[in-house]
Amino acid sequence: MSEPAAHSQVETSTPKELVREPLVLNNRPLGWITNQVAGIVEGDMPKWWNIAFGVSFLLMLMSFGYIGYLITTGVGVWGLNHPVAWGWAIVNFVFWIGIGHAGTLISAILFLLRQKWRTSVNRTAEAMTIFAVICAGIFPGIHVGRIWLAWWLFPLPNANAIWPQFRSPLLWDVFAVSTYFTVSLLFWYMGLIPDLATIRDRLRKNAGQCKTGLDKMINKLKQFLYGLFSMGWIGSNRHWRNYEKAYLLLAGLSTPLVLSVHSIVSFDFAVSQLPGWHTTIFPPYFVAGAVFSGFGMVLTLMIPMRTIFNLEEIITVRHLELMCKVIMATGTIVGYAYGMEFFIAWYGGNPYELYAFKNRAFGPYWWSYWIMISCNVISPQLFWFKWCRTSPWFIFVVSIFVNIGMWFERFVIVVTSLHRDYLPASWGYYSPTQVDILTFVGTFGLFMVLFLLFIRYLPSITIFEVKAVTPQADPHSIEGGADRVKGGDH
Amino acid sequence: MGDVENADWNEREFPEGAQELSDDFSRRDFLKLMGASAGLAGASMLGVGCRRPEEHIVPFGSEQVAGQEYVHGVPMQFATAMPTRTGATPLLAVSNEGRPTKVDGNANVAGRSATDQFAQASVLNLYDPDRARIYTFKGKAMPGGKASAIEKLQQNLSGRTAFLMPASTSPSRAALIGEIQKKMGENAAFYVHEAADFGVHARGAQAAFGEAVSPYWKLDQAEVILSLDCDFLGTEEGSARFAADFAKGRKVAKQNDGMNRLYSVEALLTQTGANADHRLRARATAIPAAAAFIAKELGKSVTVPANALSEAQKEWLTGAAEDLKAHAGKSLVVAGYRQPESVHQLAHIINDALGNNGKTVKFHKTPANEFGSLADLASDLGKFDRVVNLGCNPVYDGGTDVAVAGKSIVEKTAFRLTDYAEDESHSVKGVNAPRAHYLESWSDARTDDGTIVPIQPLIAPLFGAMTELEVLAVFAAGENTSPRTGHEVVQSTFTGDSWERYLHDGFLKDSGYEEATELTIANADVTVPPAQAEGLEAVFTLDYSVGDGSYANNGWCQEVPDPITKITWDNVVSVSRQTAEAAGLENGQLAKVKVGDKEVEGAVWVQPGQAEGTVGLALGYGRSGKLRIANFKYEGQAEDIPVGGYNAYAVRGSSAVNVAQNVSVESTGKAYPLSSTQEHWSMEGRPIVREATLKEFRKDADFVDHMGLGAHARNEGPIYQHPYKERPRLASDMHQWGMSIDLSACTGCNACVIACQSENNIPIVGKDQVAKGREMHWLRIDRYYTGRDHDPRASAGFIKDEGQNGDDEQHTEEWIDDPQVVNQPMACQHCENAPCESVCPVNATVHDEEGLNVMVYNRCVGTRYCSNNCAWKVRRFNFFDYNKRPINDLYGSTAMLKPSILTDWITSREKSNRPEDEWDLVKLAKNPDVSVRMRGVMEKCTYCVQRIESTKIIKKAAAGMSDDVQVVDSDGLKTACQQVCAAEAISFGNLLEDGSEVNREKANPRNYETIDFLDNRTRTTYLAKLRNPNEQMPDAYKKPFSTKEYKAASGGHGDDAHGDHEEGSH
Repeated sequence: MSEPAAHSQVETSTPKELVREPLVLNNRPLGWITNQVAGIVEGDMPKWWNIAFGVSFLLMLMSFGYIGYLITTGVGVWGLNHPVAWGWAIVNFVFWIGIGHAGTLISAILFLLRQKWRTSVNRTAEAMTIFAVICAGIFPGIHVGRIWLAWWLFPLPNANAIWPQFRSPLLWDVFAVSTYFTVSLLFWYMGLIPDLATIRDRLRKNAGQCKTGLDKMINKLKQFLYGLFSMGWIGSNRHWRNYEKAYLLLAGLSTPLVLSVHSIVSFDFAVSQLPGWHTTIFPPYFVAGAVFSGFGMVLTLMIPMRTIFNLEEIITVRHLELMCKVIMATGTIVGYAYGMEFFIAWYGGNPYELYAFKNRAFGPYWWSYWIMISCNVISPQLFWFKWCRTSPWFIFVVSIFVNIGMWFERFVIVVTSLHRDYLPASWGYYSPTQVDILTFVGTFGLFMVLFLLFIRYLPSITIFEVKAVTPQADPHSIEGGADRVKGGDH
Repeated sequence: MGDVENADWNEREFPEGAQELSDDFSRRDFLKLMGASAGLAGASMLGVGCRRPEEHIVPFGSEQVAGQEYVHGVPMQFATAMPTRTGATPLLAVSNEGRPTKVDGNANVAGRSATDQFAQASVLNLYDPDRARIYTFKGKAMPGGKASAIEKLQQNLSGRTAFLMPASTSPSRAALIGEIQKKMGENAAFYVHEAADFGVHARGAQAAFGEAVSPYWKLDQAEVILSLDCDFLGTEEGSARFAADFAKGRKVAKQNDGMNRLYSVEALLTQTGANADHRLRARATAIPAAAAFIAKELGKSVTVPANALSEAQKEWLTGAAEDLKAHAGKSLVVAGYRQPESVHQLAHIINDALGNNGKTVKFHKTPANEFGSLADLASDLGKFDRVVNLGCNPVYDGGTDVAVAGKSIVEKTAFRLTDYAEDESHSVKGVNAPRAHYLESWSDARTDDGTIVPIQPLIAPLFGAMTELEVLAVFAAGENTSPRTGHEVVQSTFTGDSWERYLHDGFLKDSGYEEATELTIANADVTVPPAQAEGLEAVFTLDYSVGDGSYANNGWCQEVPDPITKITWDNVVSVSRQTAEAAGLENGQLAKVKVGDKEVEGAVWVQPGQAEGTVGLALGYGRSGKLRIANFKYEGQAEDIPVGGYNAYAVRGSSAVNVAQNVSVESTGKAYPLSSTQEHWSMEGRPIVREATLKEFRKDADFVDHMGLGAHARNEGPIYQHPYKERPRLASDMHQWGMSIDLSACTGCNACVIACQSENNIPIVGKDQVAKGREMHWLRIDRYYTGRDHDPRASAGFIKDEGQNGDDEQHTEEWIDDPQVVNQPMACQHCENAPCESVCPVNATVHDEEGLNVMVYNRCVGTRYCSNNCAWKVRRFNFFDYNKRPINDLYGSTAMLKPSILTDWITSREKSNRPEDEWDLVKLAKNPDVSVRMRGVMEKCTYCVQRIESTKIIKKAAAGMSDDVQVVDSDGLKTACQQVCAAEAISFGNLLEDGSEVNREKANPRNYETIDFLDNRTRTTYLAKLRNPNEQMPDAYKKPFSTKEYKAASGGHGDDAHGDHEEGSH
């Protein structure tokens, strides 16, 4: 934030300032950035994309198939029982929703905090958010016993004059998640407009290069569609002024949502009276966990992407390192929450709660608890070491651990609390069925399908924002302002 | 019935009823309500083409609807009775448009509306789709049905005929037999066979007193009871009455109230032992010695077999004998049917010595049994041309010795009344005739005190079935004479004044047995059989769920958890922990049980509280024949896993019917899936069931308030305002419903579970679904074991086991050897601050103004959040369409694998995927006042809201313009579980009625809420269990084991603050 400010002072009287690592390496011209990002969209997709898309598509179809089986047969095809009436579906819901947190956090909160490094990653993170929320949204929809009546959760006027029950956290979920999804989508889409216009313009320019009639038609179609969605953006001063204002407003609007969505999701548990669920620490702990898992997923996606599309100079190691620091911080918060839950279970003097926590760690599901602890508490602590947080392949491995750990965290919360509650006579055990497992695996297919389409058709990095944080864009940069390097053809 | 099958059916020379069954109007056949609902009656009572005069049955409750006998849509009640082995259970059967759907005890006769679980389940037998539907001769359908079967019987009537009959007390049957004997003389002989012989009670009394008398226990008069392997709260006949009388002595309301004390000596852990204050584990063969030892202690000269009893056992028996002596005239020693005659004789001698005879036990002059047994028939078989079997199944339950004879009996069977289309003893050469259910039959019977009760049909026989009276009437009539109908026979035997009153009231006044007084011991010289000191011995026991096997094809009975093991759908080979270790047996593995030279394979169950060296073999399973429930095979069941449990009769000889020696058990190493509804045994030191000894209660009547977190949390008052207090207008000032369950009285007998199932249309789900924890019972009975030295803290940290069946480690822990057992009926608690209501997103579970936590099935979308938030886990979710889909085919997708099912469902949601024959009958058994729930819907106990509403309607109709519409106790409103509870452990009623039963119960200082600290304000509360230990006994205890566990788990805190300091005794 203060980077350019200090510099305008008299240079001679102050010692030379330490130079921040630039956010775009190698002092690339601005046009290079546009070429690099828009090139992905304009060029043909490499072979791996087609393969990955095919596999993801099949996985997605598998998931839909299992959902069809579920709907036509009954919730019994899952492993649920009495007392464990929520299982993988809810675990997956919370897992995906959690992943959806990084995007808005990066876009909104970091924007408000003027963290410029966000520019290289925010588009992808936001897209990931939206796709993750889509995956998440499937589960509460299909987990109900009579799916064809799930619309009763919405406050729609009806002949019976029966409204939803506003005291239920599940209803709050409906509002929280749908609001979050809507705002995230708007925010993401708005941010896309200038870049969509750039692509539109480039398409127009490239039209002459089309050789065949088909190519021409495709070019026309693309021009039309990108033109449609760029809403007549011409980059005028007024456009930019309105854009900046709207973006700031949306960022302000999204910021509380980052905190509210997972707080409300945590209410599904915290508002109940079940030992292991009924905990006041849940809202902040869930939010921290969500950011933690969201960043984990962002890294999981971005590390391969930057390599494959040669974006190492835009998504630099510094970006990765900063995100590792967020992971380390939130991971530590999550670890603290785990510890605090145990402390309160003991300190609170409620034997049912104490039992629930002992049972988590040492009961029949001990393995899930210790997977969670290893992945969520231990693995992010490695980022204290600089080497660990600057080696992309290592970060990638840890980010996978984070994903696994956060899935298990939700599993531990949902299943271990339910399977042994108040009356030992009703204790039971829960195991997922093939349908549980493959439906979940298939949602990764859906996620990847959407993500691959995103890479294919939309600029995965915010071109205009990245340009704004290059040294060239800063007239006071000691690396040289706009006058030093001639701008590209943006 | 599928099309293919149907065509086949039609081809069989037009069997009777084929036309009706194939079309959609088959129900018409079932709706032939007789009698009072005129017009419908008399159509074809006795089957096609056999017109008879109208036979009126008299509705019981006709006075309920003033001026009308029958009102469309209003269920009617008829007095009838269910015959049992030794008598009959008088019943009021509910008929909905001619369909009997529910039975309740006839309080006119016995003073109670209670029955046992079998009477409750018997309704389902009527609608069993596997019932025999057609008459067959030599395996071929008889086109003439009943008429041709009678014709067949009439041919060669004078041939030498042996009649094989189940036991019965019917005066009409006795009269017919008398007529036949007169007519046929030597040519007719009668044999009675029952798998379990309860005649030993009469034989023992006869041996002791030299007169034909039967004991009639008055448990309510006894202050100290000693049971010698007598499971009077479980498998003994007439257990409902025993439970009622026993419970009277357990309900302590005030500190100076008395309480009875029960000592039990037994080998298996029975319901009676589970309710005992002191229980002695002893091998079954040592129990005669125990009886002799007691007799000797009372100064009788009896030889106690040497080495039969250990020193510890003798010490225990001495203590019990002292207590009996101290309560002379107010005590009772009872011997169980599994024990030999000598033990019964000794019991009479002991009771005589204590002066109990005539006080706590009365004797009735009962007719001596003049009939032969199955074994007699087997040896006499050569004398007869043919056998007429009136409903016995000798090949299945005859035992190993008569198995061969059983087959030859079947060979000779010319006529058999059969329950099932195909079973073990089907006649190959003769006629198989469908046997009428008692709800389709005219007959009569005597209750256990001899009162004559009528059995009147509520429905014309569904498949033109015949009763045994009708068969006997053919023989009584002789050739060329048309036999009398069952109705005529019963009416001709009737001796009272008013036939109508007899049918209306359901009993004949003053027709009981004559009491025998002035009995003296005629034979004090008892030979006590020696005990088997070493090796294994087998004890055969009637199964708690399916009895002797006659309920094996009843889904409710198969799925009701065994009250002790909580296992459904199976019987087990039960052994003690140490016996299992010694024999290398593991829980849940198939073991080979060898008795003599016969063997059978069954699943091992390590049973707490079982005597060492004893192998418990439950009868009634392992049926063969086309029985879809008894031989239920779930989807995906491996081929090598046997279905339907094992047949213990296959190793049961006729000489060692109850206790067998020369037994060995070895593991086969193969695992066998058992479906238990409760996998964890320990209460983990939680004050869920609260207990005290009588002495503690007298010292501290409010002991329940000093247990649990609620004792601390309550002081602050609730954080949230109570909804009714917040907005008083929400609450009705007429009715507020509540329930109280007395844990001291509850014996855990399961009658309430099945009554609830019958009343509320609760489906069964199948063995695999139970294993997954998806059973649907709205009311379950939680059974916990507590141990003398069991410290729940020891296991709380590390629960060692995992896996689908969970908690397997319990089976090897030492504290289970001599556990105390507690039962807790558990259903929706109807919380005022209901946690389920606040989390339902669609308002599907809400509170009504009368305090009911109601479930709106039509509104439920099935998020299951309510179940998660319920601390009692009493909500039940329809994971599949259990009502409409066959339970062995739940997983097939309707859309992908069976599109026809989906289209059927879309076009007609009423349609089921079940086989037609099943669906036709299953829907007849449903209570029309209760919705049948579809898949994806949550359900739970409603406090029988349909009964509440109908009582309110009756009350309002009667009140007319007056304001008197408040339902009070005297209006007879009872929930199904309350009504059936013999022990009267459950009270339900209006909390706004001063002095209502439920208010009286809730005023009892033992009243407490489970998990009260949650402040859910349950409307169902419990009365803590009291135990009445004898301090002089070697196994005395100052606190019940559960209280000790609670104190241990709460780290001694309880002692400091509230309790007294004491060391665990012994």
